[in-house]
Amino acid sequence: MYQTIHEAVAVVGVYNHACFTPKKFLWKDRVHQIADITSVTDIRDGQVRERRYSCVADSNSYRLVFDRTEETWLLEEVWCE
Amino acid sequence: MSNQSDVYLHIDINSYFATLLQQETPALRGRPLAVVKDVGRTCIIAASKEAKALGIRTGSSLPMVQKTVPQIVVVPVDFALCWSATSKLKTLFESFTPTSELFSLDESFIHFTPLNRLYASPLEFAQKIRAEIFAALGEWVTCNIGIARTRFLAKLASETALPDSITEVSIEQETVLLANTTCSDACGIGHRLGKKLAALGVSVPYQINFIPQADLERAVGLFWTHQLRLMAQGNEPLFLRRLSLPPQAMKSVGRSITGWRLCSNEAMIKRTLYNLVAEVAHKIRRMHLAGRQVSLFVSGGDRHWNNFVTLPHHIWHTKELFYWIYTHLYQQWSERFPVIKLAVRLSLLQSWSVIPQPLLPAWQKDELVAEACDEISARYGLFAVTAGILAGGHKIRPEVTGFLGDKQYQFL
Repeated sequence: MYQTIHEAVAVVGVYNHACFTPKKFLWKDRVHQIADITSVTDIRDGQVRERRYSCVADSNSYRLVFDRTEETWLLEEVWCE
Repeated sequence: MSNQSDVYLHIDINSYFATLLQQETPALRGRPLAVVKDVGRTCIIAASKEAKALGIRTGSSLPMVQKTVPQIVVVPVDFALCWSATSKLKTLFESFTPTSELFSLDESFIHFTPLNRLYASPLEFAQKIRAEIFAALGEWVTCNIGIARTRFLAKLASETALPDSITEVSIEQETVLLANTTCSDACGIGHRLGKKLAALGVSVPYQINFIPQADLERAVGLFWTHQLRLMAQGNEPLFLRRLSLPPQAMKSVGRSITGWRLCSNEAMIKRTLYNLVAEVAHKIRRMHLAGRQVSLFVSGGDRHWNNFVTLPHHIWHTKELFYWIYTHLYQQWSERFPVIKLAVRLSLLQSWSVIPQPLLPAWQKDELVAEACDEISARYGLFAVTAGILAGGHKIRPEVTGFLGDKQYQFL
């Protein structure tokens, strides 16, 4: 089950063919290297547009959410068994 | 009626809701997964390929399944994930041909005949589609592709094949397919129709060819007799042929919710009804439609009650719709019982362009308020502004349904 975190994080990534790919993120003073982006989900409600990157880092699954209007990043959820 | 040289592809993503969750979360891959609507719910709305192999089906009861398959992993559905994937699939299929037909959240038809100069064979085209789906949605997402002369046969072929397969049905093989597929696997033959056919001794579509016309008409009526005859020959029934026609305007918009437990709390029921009405009104307003038949359905335990009212005029304001649902229908309900399911519906929809707007000042004022709310919702999202009754607390938000009955709204 995903557990809600909803905390701001800093994300570093690369642009390739006008497409951003997160590579690592800083959360609680620790850098998490992203091993794989498993899914990219576009979420829209009115003009509020978000892009959710589901990724694997340190063998854990995380959901990073990028607010495309405000240009802010959140660590939204983390997978816990 | 289809042309003998026509070729259709039916693409069906395997165990869609569950597969997408497994793609997103590698820890779930290879494990039997039961998808429920929300934490605490007990009806399985989707099962992974691994769960299906253990006999778990959509609609199964979770407590029953947990007794026989204790290792089952239960996960709530993620509608945003599914909807985003469907949008990607739609874009992908439209990149092959603008006439691709989205049939449900995870199924599409592609008419291959106009593309036959671009690809060596339908099989090669199907392999390309499969590779593109893999690239767009991820390595865990697999699909079945059926290739046949009609949409009906293509769907039958993909539905009955093993997961992650491409099945081509030649004209010579059509009879074999129709004679070896149970009616429950045939698109369009639902539970009730299947029971009527079973009473006639029909278990596979091909047997319909041998039922006398009078017996079939007596059992299923004239309309279904004609549709079933088409299916028995591998031809397309009306609901599949309609896919190639321009979409018709929606005739009704409804919304229902099933709770966790029976509820008698009047304030909670009133708030829930308002929440459902607000969503229905938002949808019809976005589509510039108005309706004049208002329906309410409630159920709890093994009891249910429903009522409707047909108005002489069309309505398209939340306030007005709520008045008819709550004050006129719900409050007139005399033999109350605790409810678990509430459903509201506005039918007999018409476009605003053919409906005269009332000139009453009070109505004009309501319209101004509604227009302002529409603008705020369009910018900041649904329920960014709403009536005080919904302030604070959990709001029921729109969901996508598997059969995508509201695709005209969803793709606005």
